[in-house]
Amino acid sequence: MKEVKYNVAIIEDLKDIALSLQSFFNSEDDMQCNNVYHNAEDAILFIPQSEVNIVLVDIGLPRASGIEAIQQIKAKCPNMLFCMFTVYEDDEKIFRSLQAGAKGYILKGSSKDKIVIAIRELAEGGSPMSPTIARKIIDSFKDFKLQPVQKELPLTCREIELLHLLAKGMLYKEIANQLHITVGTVKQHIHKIYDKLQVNNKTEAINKMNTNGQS
Amino acid sequence: MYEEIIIKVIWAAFVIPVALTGILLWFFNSYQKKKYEFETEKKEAKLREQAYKIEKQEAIELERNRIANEMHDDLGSGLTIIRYLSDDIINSKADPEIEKSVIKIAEYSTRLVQNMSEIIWAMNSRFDNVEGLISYLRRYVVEYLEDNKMEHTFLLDEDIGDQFISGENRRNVLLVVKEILHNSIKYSGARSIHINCSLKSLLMINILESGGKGFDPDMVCDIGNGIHNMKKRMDASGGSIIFENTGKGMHFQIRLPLKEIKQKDEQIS
Amino acid sequence: MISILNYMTLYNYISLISLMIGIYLHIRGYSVLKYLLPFIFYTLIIEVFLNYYLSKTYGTSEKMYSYFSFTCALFYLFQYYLHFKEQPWSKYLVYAIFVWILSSLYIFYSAKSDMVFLPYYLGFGLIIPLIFKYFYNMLYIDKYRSVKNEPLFYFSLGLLLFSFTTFPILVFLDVLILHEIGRSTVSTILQYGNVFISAGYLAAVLCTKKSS
Repeated sequence: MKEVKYNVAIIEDLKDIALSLQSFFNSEDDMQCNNVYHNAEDAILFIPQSEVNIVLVDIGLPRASGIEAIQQIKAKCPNMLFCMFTVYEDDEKIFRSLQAGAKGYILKGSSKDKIVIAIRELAEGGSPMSPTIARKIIDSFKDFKLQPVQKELPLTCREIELLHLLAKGMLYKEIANQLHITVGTVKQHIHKIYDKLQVNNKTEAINKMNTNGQS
Repeated sequence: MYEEIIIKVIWAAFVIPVALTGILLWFFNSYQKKKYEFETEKKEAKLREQAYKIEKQEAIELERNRIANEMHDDLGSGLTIIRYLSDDIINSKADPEIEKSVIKIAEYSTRLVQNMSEIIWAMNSRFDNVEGLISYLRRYVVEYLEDNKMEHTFLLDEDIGDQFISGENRRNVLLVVKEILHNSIKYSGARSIHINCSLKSLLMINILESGGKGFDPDMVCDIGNGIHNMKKRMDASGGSIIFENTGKGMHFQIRLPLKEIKQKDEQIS
Repeated sequence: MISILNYMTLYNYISLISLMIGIYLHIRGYSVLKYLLPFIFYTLIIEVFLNYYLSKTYGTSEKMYSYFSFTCALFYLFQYYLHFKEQPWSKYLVYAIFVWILSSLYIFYSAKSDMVFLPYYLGFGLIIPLIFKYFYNMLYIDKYRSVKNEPLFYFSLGLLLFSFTTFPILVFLDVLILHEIGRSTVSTILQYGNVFISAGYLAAVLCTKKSS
């Protein structure tokens, strides 16, 4: 009996990819994958009732989008970890997924080994970030400070520094060297930044509702 | 009798000029009003046409991006399947010759999707700024040089911000830099490469080899095509590229004047 | 020859200049108001040469002037007919013109004196409303068009100004006809009024310069 630390679910409409990944995850000692869905509706229905703790979400799903799946499942399972599965690092949808609650992304071109490593990293609290995403986050938090209602703390100085270095195009290794920390710590900072991004997004939505209600 | 005449004189001398003036004034006034209405209508029609053109342009761009993204998605998903199948074959420890070919298949597919990502990046007007170009460049360059175990530094000016640069030019600069680095690593024998980017009146990217054998740009024939292509690309972007053999290695300088943002809007109209 | 030139008034000079410019433009390929040039030529011939000849021979030229004025009014009406040809009421215009022609002929036939300008005035009684209708159409019914390229406009303006300034003659006709001075006054006023008409010719000819 293997000790399953990570129970992964896959939401991917291309069956070849989904089944291939499933068998690979199952071949890992600490992983299990018994939940494979080919559209968002099925996933929203069945995942909350299951034992899954990590979901790999394809960004291009047929009807309802991956982003909706994240929102709905997260509402029922707040501790669920979501990882986007995408071809292109700078896809618009990745940023919106991060705002909705995803904590990372993996490129579809990666080898299966890399995918497994990324999932483990994510589960341990580390996340990847591209320069474009860094810049977008910097911009979105700039706007946030102008809001009347500020419910959560803005970013720490460290986090802001990190974002700027990432936005410039520095690699994790370079940033780690510059800040005298490890690459793992860099990725954990990023993970926390995504947490704040999601909260910021929710607060903004609430603020919008409030101002709409008053007007 | 004379009374009649006087009445008629007064009537004629008074009524006629007044009537005439009245008619001319009426005509002039109505004409001007009509002319003004016509001109305003013309101006509004022109504005509407301009707005329509801009809308159309934006719709075309949006559609173009959507198509590119869809194609890219399909391509990427297809690549993933190729990748997995190749990995399966490699892991099944098949014939080493077959394994070599399969590895090549996987590499080519990966490169295909990378190129597609580059094209999408170049086409998307979201990334039409210098900051975006330099960070994309930096990421690529540093990763590439690390993978090839080449010592390097990459410095950039503080002035680099969101000045406008078109997708076509971004791609041209990227490809020229790629070509330079590729040649450096393959042929120059340099110990390290140092890159710095600055933005004063134009964008300047300096690539310095340290300790390479260098070449005479005028004398080259076998890397000839590459150099010719680089010059063509920079010309097409309205910029230039300078090759200098400093004795300690090659110095490449890419220069690109940047247009103001309002010129981009003028392109549409 | 020179004596003829002395006989020419300002009105004749302006008409002559209009004619020359018009011919020049016509050769160059520009299109002028239809039949205007032959008409100007005709008026010059009549008013300068024939008038001169008749004055020398008979002393007065009023009879000629009466018939001549009739033909002028006819030409003016014809211009407006051409302009309003496509209108739905154009056939009524044709009827009206015919009625006018017939009544003019009758007036000429039954006239007792040499000065028969009634047909001319009656003609203008038709022309002035036509001019107003023309202006009204241009301002309120048709789409905006620039007055720069409209020879008929300047032509109409000339006729309008002429008829307004020579209107006193109509008012005083009964008085003026009786006296010799009155008759010369009439011709003097007419001559000055004619300047407006010839200015209208000139402007009409000049404005075709813009459109070829």
